[in-house]
Amino acid sequence: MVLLNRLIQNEWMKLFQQRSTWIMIILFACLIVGYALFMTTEAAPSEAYGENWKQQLQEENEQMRTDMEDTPATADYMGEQIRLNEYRIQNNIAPDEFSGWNFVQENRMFVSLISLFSIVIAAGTIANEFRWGSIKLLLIRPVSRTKILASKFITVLLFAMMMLVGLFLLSMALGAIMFGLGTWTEPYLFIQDGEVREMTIMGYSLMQYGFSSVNLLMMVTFAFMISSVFRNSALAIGTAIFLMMTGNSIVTFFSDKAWAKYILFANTDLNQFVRGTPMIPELTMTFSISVLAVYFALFIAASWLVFTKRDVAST
Amino acid sequence: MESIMKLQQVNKTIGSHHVIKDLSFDVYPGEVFGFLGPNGAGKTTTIRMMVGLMSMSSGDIVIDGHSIHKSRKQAMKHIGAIVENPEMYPFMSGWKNLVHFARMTDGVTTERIREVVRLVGLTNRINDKVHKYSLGMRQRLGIAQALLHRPSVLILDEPTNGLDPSGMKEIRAYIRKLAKVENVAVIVSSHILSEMEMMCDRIGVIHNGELINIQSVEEATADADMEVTIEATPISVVERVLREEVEQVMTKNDTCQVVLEKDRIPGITTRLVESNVNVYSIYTQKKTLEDQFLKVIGDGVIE
Repeated sequence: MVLLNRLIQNEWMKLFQQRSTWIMIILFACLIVGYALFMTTEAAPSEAYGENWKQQLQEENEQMRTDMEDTPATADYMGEQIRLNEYRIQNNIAPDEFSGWNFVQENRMFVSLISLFSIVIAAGTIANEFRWGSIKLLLIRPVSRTKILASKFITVLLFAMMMLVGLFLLSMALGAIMFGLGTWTEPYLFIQDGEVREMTIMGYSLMQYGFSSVNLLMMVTFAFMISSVFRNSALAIGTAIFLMMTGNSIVTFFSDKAWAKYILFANTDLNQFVRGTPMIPELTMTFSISVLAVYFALFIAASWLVFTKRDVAST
Repeated sequence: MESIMKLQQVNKTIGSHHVIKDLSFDVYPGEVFGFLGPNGAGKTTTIRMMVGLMSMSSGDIVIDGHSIHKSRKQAMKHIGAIVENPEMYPFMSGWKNLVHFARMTDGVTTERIREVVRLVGLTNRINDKVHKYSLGMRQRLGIAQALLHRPSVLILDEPTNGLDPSGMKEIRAYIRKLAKVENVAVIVSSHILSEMEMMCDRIGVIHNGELINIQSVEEATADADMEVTIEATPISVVERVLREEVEQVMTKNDTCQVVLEKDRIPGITTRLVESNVNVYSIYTQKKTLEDQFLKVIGDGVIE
């Protein structure tokens, strides 16, 4: 009985024996370090609030109110800022300086880069075996094709997870060095359903990373399916990245249609339910998770059907 | 003797093409079975079905009692194969490639991997990346991965393809040794008949997806006519003597050439000596399977 973990070990070995994998990892680490340096030197948010921060916030609010009248486009954002500042004054929560945790939280944007790298790997994992011809040696073992497929998918997920954990830890380390970590119980304020909410900044960061991973998982699974069905990694990378970039526009374009809420990309951003302003008003968290689950099952089923049933003919 | 691999009325249809037609044959332990046919005859398709890369439209293949349909995993345990070229992972060392495939079968130890590496003579280069290997080395690494789990059937698709003459000779000797010493059934495919004659015990000829005949190499050569070249003087006397025995005599300079069965040679030699000619040499050559092969293939048209 060939155990799944031995197959995963194989996939992991093949992944890290390829130079491209290392290039992606090193590039990624360099980007984060570079961004940290940029933040300290160029864009340090130096608005220091002193003893009378309450008065400073009030002045800020006045300023924003006048600005709002001049530029109505930014009204929503400014309105939220004003509400947050008022909340601080009422509840006596002093605005904190930019801490390591803010850095961690901001670095959430790098998750889309992890998606990109994971898509590349998911796209290659099956297609490359066909391109190299090694698929013929891989599938003549006493191991079911289902198991081989599973080992490949799990390996891609493990890679994505490694990158996510790496991003979080590296951001924490850099944040601590560059800005000081402060305390992880530091309250973070955000607006949900028009009301100000409080959360510890660490909890909020973890939640944001978690939500960003949903889109990652869906796109990686999609790329994996294309790789299995068409055995072509370029096609898989291309379509997955194209959809990732244009997903929101697709939803906006069809937003007046009744079926718009069934579009994958209307549901991938679970953060919209925390903010309380979903892209399509009738969406709920439960509905979105169900839709995502159905898409996920479809992608996996298609990959599986083609991979296990189709002949490996001459190349 | 019990067969180790049995093809039972195997058919394969791809689209509207009936690519393999009612293919049935048996392969026995310890023999080298040649699978001969022109390019496009269906050799590789048949091999792909034997190793489970392609499904059969009908029929079954049974390996050591396990149907490839019903118990594929059990059947595959007994098979080692190279399908077309031995395509390994070029970015990994030969050793890592072998470790990779060893993990996919139960009970292949590190010691066994070392043993196989020694067997194919790659010990010195096994830690080099595969993209640095020559074709011959790749072929050997391919054989190594096929042998890791001690299969009872070894399937090699065009094993001497792209090898230099010494490499070919080595592989041939090696295949024979495996069959005789380890009692492995080796199935070799090729489109080159002389290759096959040198290493196979039996040859099955396939053409346009149909098995045309199977015959043992020894049988074929015993029956076959010999081409006899006699160098002697005076040549005119020789020619006259030969004409009494056979229809066609080809005379050229001081030699005569005739085609006859092996057991008639001593008689003719005696007659020549009695006729007082000076015999310098009698040279015989087996007529190869080639004529039969070409006759079978006939037009050579691939449908």
